[in-house]
Amino acid sequence: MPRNAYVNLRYGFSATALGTLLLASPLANAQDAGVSYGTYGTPSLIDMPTAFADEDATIATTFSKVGDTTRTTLTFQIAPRLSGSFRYTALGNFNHPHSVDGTYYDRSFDLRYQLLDEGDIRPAVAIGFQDFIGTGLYGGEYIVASKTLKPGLQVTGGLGWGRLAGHGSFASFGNRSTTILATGGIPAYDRWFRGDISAFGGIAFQPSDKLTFKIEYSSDAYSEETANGGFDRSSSLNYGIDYRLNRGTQLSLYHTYGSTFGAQLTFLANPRHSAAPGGSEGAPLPVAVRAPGQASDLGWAVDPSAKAKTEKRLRSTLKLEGISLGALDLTEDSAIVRIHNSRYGVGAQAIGRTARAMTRSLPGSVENFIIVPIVDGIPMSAVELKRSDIERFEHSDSALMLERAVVSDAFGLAKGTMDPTRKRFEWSFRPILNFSMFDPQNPVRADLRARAEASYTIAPNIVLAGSISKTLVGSIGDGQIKNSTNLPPVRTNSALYAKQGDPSLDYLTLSHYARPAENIYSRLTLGYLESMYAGVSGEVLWKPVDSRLALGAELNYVQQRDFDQQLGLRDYDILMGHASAYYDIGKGYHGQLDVGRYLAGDIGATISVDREFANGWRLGAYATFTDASADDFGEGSFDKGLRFTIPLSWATSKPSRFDAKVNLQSLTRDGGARLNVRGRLYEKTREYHKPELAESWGKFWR
Amino acid sequence: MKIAMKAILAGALAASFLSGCGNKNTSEIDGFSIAANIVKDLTRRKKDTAPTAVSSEMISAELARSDAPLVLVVLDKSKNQGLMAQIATNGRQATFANSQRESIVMRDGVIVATRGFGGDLMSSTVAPLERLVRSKSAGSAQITMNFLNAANTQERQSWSCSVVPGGNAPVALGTIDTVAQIVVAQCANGSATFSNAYLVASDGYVLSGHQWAGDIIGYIDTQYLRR
Repeated sequence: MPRNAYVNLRYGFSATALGTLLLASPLANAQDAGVSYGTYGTPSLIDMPTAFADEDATIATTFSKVGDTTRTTLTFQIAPRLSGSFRYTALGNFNHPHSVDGTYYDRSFDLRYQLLDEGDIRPAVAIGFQDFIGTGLYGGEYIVASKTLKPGLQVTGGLGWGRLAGHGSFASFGNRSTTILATGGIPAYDRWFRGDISAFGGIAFQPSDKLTFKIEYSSDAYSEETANGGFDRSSSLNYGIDYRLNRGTQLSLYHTYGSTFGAQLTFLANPRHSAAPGGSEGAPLPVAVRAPGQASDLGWAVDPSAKAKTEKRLRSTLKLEGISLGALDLTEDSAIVRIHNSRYGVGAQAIGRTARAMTRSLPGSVENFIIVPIVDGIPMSAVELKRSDIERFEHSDSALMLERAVVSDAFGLAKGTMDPTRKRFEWSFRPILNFSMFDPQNPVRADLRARAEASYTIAPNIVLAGSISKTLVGSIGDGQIKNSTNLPPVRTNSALYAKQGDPSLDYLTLSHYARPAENIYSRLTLGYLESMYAGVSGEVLWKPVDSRLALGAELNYVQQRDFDQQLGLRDYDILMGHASAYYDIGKGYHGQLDVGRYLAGDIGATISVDREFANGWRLGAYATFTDASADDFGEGSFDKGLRFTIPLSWATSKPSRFDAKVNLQSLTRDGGARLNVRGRLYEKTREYHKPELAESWGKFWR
Repeated sequence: MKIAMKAILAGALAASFLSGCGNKNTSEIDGFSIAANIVKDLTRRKKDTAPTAVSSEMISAELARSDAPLVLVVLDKSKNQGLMAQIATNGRQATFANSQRESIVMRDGVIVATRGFGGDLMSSTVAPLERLVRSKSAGSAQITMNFLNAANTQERQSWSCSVVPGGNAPVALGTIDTVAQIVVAQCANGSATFSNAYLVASDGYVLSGHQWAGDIIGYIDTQYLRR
């Protein structure tokens, strides 16, 4: 995958910043009268859920403020029937021991599953778990049915438990636990669908595509808000109006519970929609078809200057396409071309454009094209194409070319020569923005820093790289230190690092990449690996070119760095690392399992599942379970989080290898903490392997 | 969330003034440059520019510059006009392109692919339709068109077309001065429809066309100035 531009390098990430990127993005083909979102940021009337599901892969970012309650919610339609939501709530004027200046902050996760989709007669039916792993402010479950009676008229009715049975309960089932499992942060299964049951429902009326009127009967009692805040619940009826702006953006106004006004904005994005599907970059060079007889013309082979001329021609043609040429091996009938792709985020497109350039530059007798993408000085695969196939299928369905492309291991095909036109010394200077989230004292802290980075390529596969940065403005250093656990403080001193590391040496490393054997890739990194740790990190990866499975091992010996992030080290060192299995499940799903020892010496495993798109979009979740007990870990019980990768090319429709990587960690604790070493092998390796190339092969002729 | 919004606004402002510098070949960027790029891109897209037009002087100059076949192209959606010269042939397929790296691939005037417009027609199977158009005969034909979606996966559309020949019309522009027959093709795919029109020379060559190239591009009008 492309090199990553981390939007934040600290811990946690601002949902608003992600929202900003998402709402700045093009959403073509926006659903005209789409699913209506409510104040909880899920498909709802106002506070009460409906059974409708949005289009697969839709990401909805909702900001709502009703009275003193502000909710920011990110909802992702994980699969056609399954959606998940992450919500950050601020309750103003709320009297609670954890309130800061009268505001209480709370995070919650929801899962919804659509049991039945809507039919001619059958209603849509969904089951939902609200705040199912939190400390339970919003904890509640529901079963709800919705039906479109006629175009523009929808009715919804459901049964709620927990929060959704606060008002008007008519029955009860079992006992709903009130204790918190472990230290919170694990599924509250002892509460689900237990205790009081209430009914809720409502009607949505759409006189036009732009406008929706909503009325609902709410079973939410707002008892906490009434008892500890200034909430006044004098009615169970809520009223709302939705207005659809461009790109599906929803603007809503509410009057709720007979006392309160509210407003809401929901932005929609979908990795599968963009303003210019397939990209709006310039047309590729046409294939130059050989004249009859040219294929057997070997006249060039006896001309000693011919090879140099050919190489020069190919180099300049490739340069037009943003691809640089490494070593070229030329024989009478075949050519091995090593390329460095710094433009195309989609590997197949880089291969396709190289093949076109080869038809325009190489002598007619060269029939076998072998294209070897080189990343960090090592060959990632060898894509073999027949020149006559390229000529024959230039204007055909790309599947015909894929059937004939042979992708094989490129072990031994690297030539240690640098492309003479590539710079050995590269530098950059730019501002960066770091976020720190969910500090109870201040939900979002941010630092604006200036950063200078430089790298020197000693040999194609040996790179010396470093970065220093200085805070211009920011408040991350004012954050709380939360290391009152029984584990060594391996991550919880982040505020001290931010405060004292100004200026900071972000990293200073010497990296070596190699191909020790067929199917094997290796990395060795020495130096100041990341902001908090220095040492040595070694990694080996087994990944056959046509395999969906990869196995890796990483071993690190690291010592903690001084808080000032200069050259000094602290008195904590550890040998840690992981054995990893990566599996491309197919249909856009990817799984990863890492088993090993974490920074605090705890032993365990991390499970990650991602939904991936061929354009580089990724949305995933991970959880780490180690032998550190929930008490040792502290609030949250174990480490878990969400991660997103948004490719720049999707937002701009121009080819790019850059993407925004966002890690939304629920809490930064010391258990299950990993090393943030740069240059890990798996993503860069799989990019040019068969499964990933095949996935986006449609871009071969683009 | 106030603080976050402020930080983002500050960041966006900073990015607009300072998007960084360096000597890298690659357009390496971080979150800032991403935001700056998006802002730049969105504002550029919003700018309403008057459609570009082609003058008779430009046509004469381009005809004089080389012997290559030349086509006047009008994008129906934007009304942008431009000249495209033939830059390559592959079998019966001819690639016409302009200096903005937009290209159209045609088979004797029938569009089979486009590149560089965004939402491009990646490839198509239009031979059955082409046969009816060339012979100026009525009939029906099944065609397929391949597009990339935003996730970079190929989507195939199948269309059923019915072809009806019509009367004659003069075609006179550039070096072409003749009379051609009108042929109309009505194509449907479920509830979606498009209708193409062709001006076909006596030898079956489509001298001028109004041809659909997908939802994003819409219709492309072509007129040969030199075959």
